Amino acid sequence: MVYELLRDNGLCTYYTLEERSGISLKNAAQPLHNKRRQRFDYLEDASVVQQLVEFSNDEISKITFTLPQIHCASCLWLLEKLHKLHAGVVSSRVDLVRKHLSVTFHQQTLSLRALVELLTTLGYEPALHLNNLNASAEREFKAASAKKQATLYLKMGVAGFAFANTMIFSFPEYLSATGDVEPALRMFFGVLSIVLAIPVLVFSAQDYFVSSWQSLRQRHINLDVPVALGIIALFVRSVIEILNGSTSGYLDSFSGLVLLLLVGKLFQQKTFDTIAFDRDYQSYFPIAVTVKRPAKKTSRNVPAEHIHRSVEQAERAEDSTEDSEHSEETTIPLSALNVGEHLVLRNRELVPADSRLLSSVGHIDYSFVTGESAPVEVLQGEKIYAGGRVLGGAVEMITVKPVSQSYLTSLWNNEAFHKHEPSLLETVSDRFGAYFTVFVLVLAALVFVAWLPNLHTALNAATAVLVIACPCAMTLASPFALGWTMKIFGNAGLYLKNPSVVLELTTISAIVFDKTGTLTHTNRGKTTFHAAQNQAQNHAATMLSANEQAVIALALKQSVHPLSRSIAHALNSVSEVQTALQGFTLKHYEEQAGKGVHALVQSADGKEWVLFVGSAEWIGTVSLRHHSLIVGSVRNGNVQIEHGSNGSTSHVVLNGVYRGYFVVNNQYRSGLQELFARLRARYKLSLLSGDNDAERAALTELFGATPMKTTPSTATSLVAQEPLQMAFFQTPQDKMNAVKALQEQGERVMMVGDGLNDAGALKQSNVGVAIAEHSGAFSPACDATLAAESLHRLADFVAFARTARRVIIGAFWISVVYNIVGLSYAALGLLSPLFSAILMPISNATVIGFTTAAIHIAAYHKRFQTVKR
Amino acid sequence: MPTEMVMILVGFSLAFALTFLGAFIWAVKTGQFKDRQTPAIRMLVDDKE
Repeated sequence: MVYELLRDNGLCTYYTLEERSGISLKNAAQPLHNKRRQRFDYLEDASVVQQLVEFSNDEISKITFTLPQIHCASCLWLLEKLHKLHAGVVSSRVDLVRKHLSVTFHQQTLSLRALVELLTTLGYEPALHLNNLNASAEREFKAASAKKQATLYLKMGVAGFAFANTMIFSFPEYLSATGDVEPALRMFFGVLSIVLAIPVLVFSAQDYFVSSWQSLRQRHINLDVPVALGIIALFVRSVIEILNGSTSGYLDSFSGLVLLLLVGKLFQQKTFDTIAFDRDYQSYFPIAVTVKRPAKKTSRNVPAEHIHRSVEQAERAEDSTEDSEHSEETTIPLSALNVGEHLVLRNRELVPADSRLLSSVGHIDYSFVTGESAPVEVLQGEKIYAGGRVLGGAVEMITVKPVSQSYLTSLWNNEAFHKHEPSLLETVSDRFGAYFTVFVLVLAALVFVAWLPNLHTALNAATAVLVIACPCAMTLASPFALGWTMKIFGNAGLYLKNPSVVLELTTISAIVFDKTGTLTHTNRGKTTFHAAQNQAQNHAATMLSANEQAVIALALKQSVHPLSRSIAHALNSVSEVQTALQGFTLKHYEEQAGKGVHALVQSADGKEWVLFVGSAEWIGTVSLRHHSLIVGSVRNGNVQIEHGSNGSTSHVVLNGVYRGYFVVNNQYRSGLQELFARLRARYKLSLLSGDNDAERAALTELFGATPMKTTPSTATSLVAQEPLQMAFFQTPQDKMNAVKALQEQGERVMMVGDGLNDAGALKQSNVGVAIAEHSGAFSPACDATLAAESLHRLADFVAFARTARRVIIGAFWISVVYNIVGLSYAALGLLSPLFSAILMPISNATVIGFTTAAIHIAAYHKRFQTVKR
Repeated sequence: MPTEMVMILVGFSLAFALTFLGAFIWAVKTGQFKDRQTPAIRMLVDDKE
């Protein structure tokens, strides 16, 4: 289908572009069936279109999509040829790094919905979430930050230009072997230097003046104050000396200094930008949801003002109009979702607001929220929380809270998320700046006084002090050191929100781990099979043959249940099973969500296999119904059902014979024991879990004997799990309180967790690290995201952060040496343009060079990579 | 005489250099520095029209 689409439009080179180019056609090739089309209904809504589109006039509209499927050159090629696939597209442009596609189209000939459907048929379904709805505002914001970076380039360009040229103009003076340069020429070069330096002062160095002024207005000295002071002193003194002909000025040092400062700033900015971080529930929730609304003329929607009307009333009213002729399913935007609406949610769809279940039973996957992969069975009338995913068949529920007040979203609105404290880096930098400024001013005053009878020299020396003193350690060393560190961490799987987090990592004293999803794999369990003794035929327990395992794997692969997936994954990893799989085809498949799977598999030689896999209760009821199909003892009493060890059991009946059961246990990530042994040496470790304590013994072995303070407060007794139920209103709060308690004891806490329910604790801690299994997952307001497979390197990361800090301190001492040399000359009145032109660039370059080299050497030693391979 | 010659020559070279600065400013302003990865790949894509 896609092939035809491409061929008809002469775009067959798509396939020749790369070996494994583009998207797997299996998924891409289906034309959208009616059911799939229905989920784009909301794109017909004019208000939604208006919010999604960045720009629109009578003729054209412009929109930017995020297409996570973009990954290669042929994607680029195809997507930029969109105008050949449909005349309504004017142009399209891809940003490979950000995975964006900007499309300009004629909305009269091609509606937004049709455009999205076209992209979907090609295999590039746009990721449309709630946060795309303020597209024009977001675009303005992005444009503003892009402009800021563009201006930085301009400032650097001007400063660099001025630096190079003024340097050249100064050469005659510096290099003249035959005595002084002719005064007329000297004045000429001097004036030219001033002309070039003015834009540098006014434009390139602008930010430092603005920042210093703002800081001084608040009676506060930040790092930019001494920098601004130095820049002004350099400029003013140079102009004076040039105009009265005494020296050729220091304008080359001046522009060189500004240039290097800007380079540092650019570096900082670039490392900052690479990771987009501030996401909240809006980038996770869908834009629209399917509701059942009465198709009557009078509106029966519950308007916002009538929320007090009880849900039971709404339900009863709904029930009375339950006949399908009177209610229809439509897709409405999330913003239009009220309380008391009748939702229809299908498999894998997200619950957008706290609701009560109307169907008789439902299975909800709360893994994104709690990390628990086992679905929760919800009965009619019970509450379902926003953020969960529906598993299995369609369920119906009625909303009881507005989207914004649902438990999940109200967790975001917790005030912990809105406090903005200055980062550690800002605090340290500002304090350094303050001390430095005071020191320089005091020194200049002293020098002035010391030379006093000789006013000329006194002024000379005092201003020289101001000129030469440079806070390079902070202004140059820290952006480079922290920037490189962030890049190195990113390559190794730890993504920091901003450079300050590196410093914060060096200050922590205690680490709190969440268990489920953090220490355990969320969708891989340790699968073991317990064969059953066939009492009816008195055989000893027989394990499953490779063929039998293949049959089970084939069937379970179709299931959405995490247990089935774990089992299928485990079975599939055996090579004999993989080869055996070739010879089987699935004839019939039926799943009762959360209960079991019934499948019919046929092998190549025509033999049929009837398979039932499921929970013990389900097998029991099935056996009652299909009595003839099952031989052997599968009544609840005869089979030993083992619930425990956090495992879940799936019983297997194959061709009428009960064979045994699979147990899927939580599998812990690799390398944890070593990690904890290393961390234990320096930090106080603790574990929080929303689970039961069945694995207490295993975990104590994993953790080892953690030294604990013997205060009886509940917060410190955290080594073992707390036997908590999954009571939403307690677990996240408990975790947050535990972190707070540790902090009150004077510890600085790093929390390692995952999922949205850890968000409160993550925010409360000094450093919140969210574990991500895949790049799609997110946790808001965490300070860092750690790829799950890099968890075992946590000790390395923290150690490297300490190294980075030591590098900055080393650079500080280097700059101290330079300052001493420079200030001695200055104080003695011996400062000359040549001297400053040599000293300043060298000192700045040395600081940058040392920092960069030290970080790279350290990275090499600790086996980190500086370039992504 | 040499002094004046130097001044003229420096003047010209500065004017010349300024045009390059102007070109740089133009390039930044027309957004050529915004996305540095995609154009590199885009130019390698074959266009058989």
